[in-house]
Amino acid sequence: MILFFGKKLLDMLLTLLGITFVCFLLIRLVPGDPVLLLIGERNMDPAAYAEAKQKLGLDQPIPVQFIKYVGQVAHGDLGTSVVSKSAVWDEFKERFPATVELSLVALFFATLIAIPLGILAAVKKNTFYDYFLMGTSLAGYSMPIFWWGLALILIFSVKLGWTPVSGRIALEYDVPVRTGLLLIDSLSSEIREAEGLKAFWSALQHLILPAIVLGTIPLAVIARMTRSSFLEVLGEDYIRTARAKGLKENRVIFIHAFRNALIPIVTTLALCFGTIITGAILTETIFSWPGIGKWIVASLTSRDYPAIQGGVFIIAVIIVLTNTLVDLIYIVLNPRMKKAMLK
Amino acid sequence: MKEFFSELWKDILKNKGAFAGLILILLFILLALLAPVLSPYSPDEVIDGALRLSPGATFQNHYFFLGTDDIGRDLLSRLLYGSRVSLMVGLSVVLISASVGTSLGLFAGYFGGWSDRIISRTMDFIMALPSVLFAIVIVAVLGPGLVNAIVAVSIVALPNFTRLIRAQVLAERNKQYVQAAHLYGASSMRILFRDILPNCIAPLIVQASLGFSDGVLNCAALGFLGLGAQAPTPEWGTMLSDARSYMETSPWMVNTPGICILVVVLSFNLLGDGLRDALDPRLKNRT
Amino acid sequence: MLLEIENLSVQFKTETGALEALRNISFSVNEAEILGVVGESGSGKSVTNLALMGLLPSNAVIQAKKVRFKNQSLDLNSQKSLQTLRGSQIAMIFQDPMTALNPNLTVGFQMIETLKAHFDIDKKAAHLRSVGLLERVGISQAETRMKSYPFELSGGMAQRVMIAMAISCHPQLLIADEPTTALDVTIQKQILDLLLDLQSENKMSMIFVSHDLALVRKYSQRVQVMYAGEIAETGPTEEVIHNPRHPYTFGLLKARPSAHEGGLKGKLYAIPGTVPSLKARPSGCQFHPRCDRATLVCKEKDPELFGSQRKFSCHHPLGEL
Repeated sequence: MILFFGKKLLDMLLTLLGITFVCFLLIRLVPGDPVLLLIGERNMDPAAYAEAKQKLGLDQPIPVQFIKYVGQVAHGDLGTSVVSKSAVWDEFKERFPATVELSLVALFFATLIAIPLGILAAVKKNTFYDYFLMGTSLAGYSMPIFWWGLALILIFSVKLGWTPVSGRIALEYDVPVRTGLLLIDSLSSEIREAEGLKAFWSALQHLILPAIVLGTIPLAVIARMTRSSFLEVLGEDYIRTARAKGLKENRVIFIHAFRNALIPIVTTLALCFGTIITGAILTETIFSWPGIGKWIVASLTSRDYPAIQGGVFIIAVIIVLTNTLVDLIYIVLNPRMKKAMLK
Repeated sequence: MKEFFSELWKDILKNKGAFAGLILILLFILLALLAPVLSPYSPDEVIDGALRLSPGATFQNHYFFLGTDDIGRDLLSRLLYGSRVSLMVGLSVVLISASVGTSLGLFAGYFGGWSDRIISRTMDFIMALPSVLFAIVIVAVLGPGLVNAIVAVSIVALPNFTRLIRAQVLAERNKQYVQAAHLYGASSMRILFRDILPNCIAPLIVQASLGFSDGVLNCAALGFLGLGAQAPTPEWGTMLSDARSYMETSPWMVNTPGICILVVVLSFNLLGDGLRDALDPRLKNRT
Repeated sequence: MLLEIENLSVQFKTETGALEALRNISFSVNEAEILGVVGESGSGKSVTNLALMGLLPSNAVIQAKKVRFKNQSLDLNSQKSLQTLRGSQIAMIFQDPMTALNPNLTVGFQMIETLKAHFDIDKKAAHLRSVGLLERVGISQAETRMKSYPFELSGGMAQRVMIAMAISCHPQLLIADEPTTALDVTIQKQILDLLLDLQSENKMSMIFVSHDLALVRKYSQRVQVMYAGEIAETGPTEEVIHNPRHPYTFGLLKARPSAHEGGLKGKLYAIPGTVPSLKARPSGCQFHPRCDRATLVCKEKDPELFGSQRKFSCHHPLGEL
């Protein structure tokens, strides 16, 4: 058992090392002088240049630089943003909760809606409902998010005025920062005393449209996966046995079919993580949502290389960690593998 | 081989979605190829004063079927030429990622050992990052532009082909006909390309169709972020980005390229999906 | 008569048209008797059972003139009424026990849920009863086995579990669809003896489906030979085996290795031709293309099942001995 976990951890570490290496290379691959890129100046006088070069450690041979970089990264030092002059890590930390909140809400609602729809489509296979659902899923899956967001803003924010156009919450509310998740923080006692539930409501209003946009593709993907996984399971012999035993159809579907169909669905959920990050970059840009997606795009436009390097690195690390975690959970969930490991 | 394609054709006809997708794709290709003939104006042509006119507007003897953009260019012409760009983008991405990816997959699957380990690790690595993010990183290194965007998107698409082919090769490698060929003295290359590869065609075609739509979508995303095609190239994503500020006043500037992207991506997904359904159950139905 | 079926037909709707799987079959099963059903693949023997249980896929069209179980009319198209019978009055065990059990649920879970579905019983009592049932079917260390997953069991053990689950609610009719085909020969005998034992102990009726004539001969009192969705011949087992009237039955008996008379010389007999595809059925008697006694009338008219206790459907049956 320990061997198995150990191997997985080793894999993970190797991948992380690879990511570190690529991010390290990033600055050196971009055309231009790395010193100037990292400082963010076009020109520097020779004295300042030499000093900066030494400070950044760029006068050392490459392998030494790399080791130094790994050390820095391990300590959380990802450089200084050229634009804001503060630590990249701090910039990231400040914006991260916004993205987390958006992603969680989007994924939550996507899953909540997608799984029942997928099950229904599987149970009513080849009926009009099935075709309609799968057709809509395919459309959702093919949707260019950046247009979809704009179109929804046009309808709901501009024409109907139901939702705000940008931001996380109306500017008049000063919500104390506890978790960074506005939906939770706006329910803390101080703000409730002052404004009641208005702050919470404002946060929710701001969240709805971006969450719908971000969740569209995951919804489509999960619905389709649920349907196909369910169909596959429903065709298995043990479902026939369950029915032959006289079990009620509800029980057959939810206890026998659902549990077994769940495994590929959970795997898909994990894969959705990557889709969400991609989507977040675009969604945040459209809705001016102050998360890390918008930050990275802005950094790109302003050539803030330390920020790009740092931001990409952190995101990659998070994804690798999440994937490894999901792999491990998957193993534990599957009784066959669990027992095999325990021997 | 011939019967394979005729079977495939029959399956496409049966699957309504795939058929619809195919029709749309043919329409798209037709429009793209005939763009120079069909466009009333050149995509770069600026008509003085014809700023942000709505669809169907007339202006000084000019007729704009889909209106004009913020500089005064005819949207219909730009969209038509944009389809050429998208066609080129999709084809390039698929050709590059399919050829490189397939070769890597064949290699990794057949020879195993270190080459497999290195290739698989690299693919895992590419997949670890979400597509657009990785493409952004590559473009950050190479610099913005349509060609660089295509390169970036192709790299991101590599793992799809590599893993697919590798899995097929691994499955086929242990089959008897391969071992027999080996015994007869056939070289590895010959076995790979003449025996194993033809059996991989089916999933390859499916992946190619889906890869086309992904390619177009990702490049459009890069264009939207300002990292792909640069002005004045009429790429749909870039056009969307330019039109963003005029969303409220001139929504058609935003909606027309958006819908174009949607339809093209949808049609390739329909085809790819339909093909996948056609190729899979057939394998299962053989009793 | 426990079960009475008259003129049961089953068709499957497909893209290429309707496939007739069962054509107007009629048969019955008495109390506490074992009816053996023999036939090749495609003969309709499994479809009959699945139709009876309401387990056919949604594209099946089921029609029957009369279906009576325990003297009550039964509508094979009503999932609702069939579901109340399934498991409690009529139970079924399947060919491959390894896939027939849910791989992600323990044996205990699957047994207890069966009991709880049909009896007003609490978990503890259900657990105890399950352990008793497992012991009854010959599983050692039954208590530990309750916590096992199907992949931890051997084929024989899994089938025993299936049997335990099937009889747990004291069904009057047990349908065993090729219960030992997927098992080793040595285990086969054990399982079938177990079934025989249980059957006589509980005075259960059983439909025993097999393609193996020898097994059917040993374990059933009456036998029914099916061909291409119809009943070719039926009657008391020994009589049918010793005195087959239908040429198909005769052919089956002749094709047995044990019936081969040439020793190491000569070829084993095989009925010439192949079972007709459901998509391309022959006219008249379904067996006529392969029958050496076929005449014009066989080609034109499909013979009906004829007789009382002993029935067969042939225009030119073999003579009585």
